[in-house]
Amino acid sequence: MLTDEELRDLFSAYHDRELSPERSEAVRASLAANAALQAEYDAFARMLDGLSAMAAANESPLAGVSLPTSAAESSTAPAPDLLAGVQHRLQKRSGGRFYGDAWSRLAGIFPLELIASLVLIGLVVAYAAMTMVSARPAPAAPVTAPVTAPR
Amino acid sequence: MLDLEAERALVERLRRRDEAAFNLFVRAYQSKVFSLVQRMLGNRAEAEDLSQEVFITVFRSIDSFRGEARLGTWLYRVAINHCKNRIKYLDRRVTRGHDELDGEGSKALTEGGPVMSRPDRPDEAMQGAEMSRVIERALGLLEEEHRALVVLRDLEGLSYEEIMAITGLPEGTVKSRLHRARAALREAIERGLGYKLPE
Repeated sequence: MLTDEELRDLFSAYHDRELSPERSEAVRASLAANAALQAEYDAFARMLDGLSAMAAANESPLAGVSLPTSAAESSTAPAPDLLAGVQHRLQKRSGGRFYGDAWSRLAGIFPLELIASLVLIGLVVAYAAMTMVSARPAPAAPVTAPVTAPR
Repeated sequence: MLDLEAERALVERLRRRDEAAFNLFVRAYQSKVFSLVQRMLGNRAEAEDLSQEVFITVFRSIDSFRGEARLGTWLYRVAINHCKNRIKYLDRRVTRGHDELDGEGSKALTEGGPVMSRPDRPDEAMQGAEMSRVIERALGLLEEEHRALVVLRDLEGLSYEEIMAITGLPEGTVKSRLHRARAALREAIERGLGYKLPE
């Protein structure tokens, strides 16, 4: 026969049917011989059944319909769509390398300072090219014989 | 759940940081992760925030997934670790907040724990919505290790093998800790109600 303390330690495994058949039978016999512990086990099992019922209620598509409390409503409301939030955080934390538009992807790969410097250099080169073109002397006009009036 | 081949292919794409594959992954697992996290934290807003962080961790550290467990199991492990850290952080914040409070309010909070409504008829205390509410609040009183085991086993309905894979604990330890966790839950329920559970 098991002691009270040994029995209590086996409540969980007994409830989960995790004991060997012999051990399980020993627990059953001990509980049958001890009304107080049987009542204690029944309360323990009821609590676990309550947990299972809670889990089942949350999984049901109709969950929460008959549960008017705010706590129950909060736990049975459908799960939110997390994707947009995850994408936003990833875009922000990766500096636009992931989930960004074309510009932010570019900014994620190359630092903004580098892109700005390249653009600036491009502008300077373009300006210099235009200045050189406008500063070049105009080609000399072809020399032609002066036109003389017929006598 | 994905079959093994599909899962391997998905992991390969995740390792390449394939955004379309990651979108599929989030959509496939978001409700499971959210459910687990909400049960661990007991707060919807915190759960939404933390669930997003779980997926971001997966995106960043998928290379450390060695394929010894199923992807879902690994995801649960990431989620549970995040939850434990967040619970510790929230506990510290609450403790600090209580320290900053003065007078009777602070005393009531620190001495009495979360306030549970005492039902007029104790024999009906553990029924229906009342039962769910009482259990939810009592779960919040458990230390994070105990809470994780009760949530994984009794609310998520995972097997001992799955819990062993998620927590990294050997079978005997899972069983004994789960038993202690359930006993602690019962005590928390009774402490909150102010009387022994109906027998």
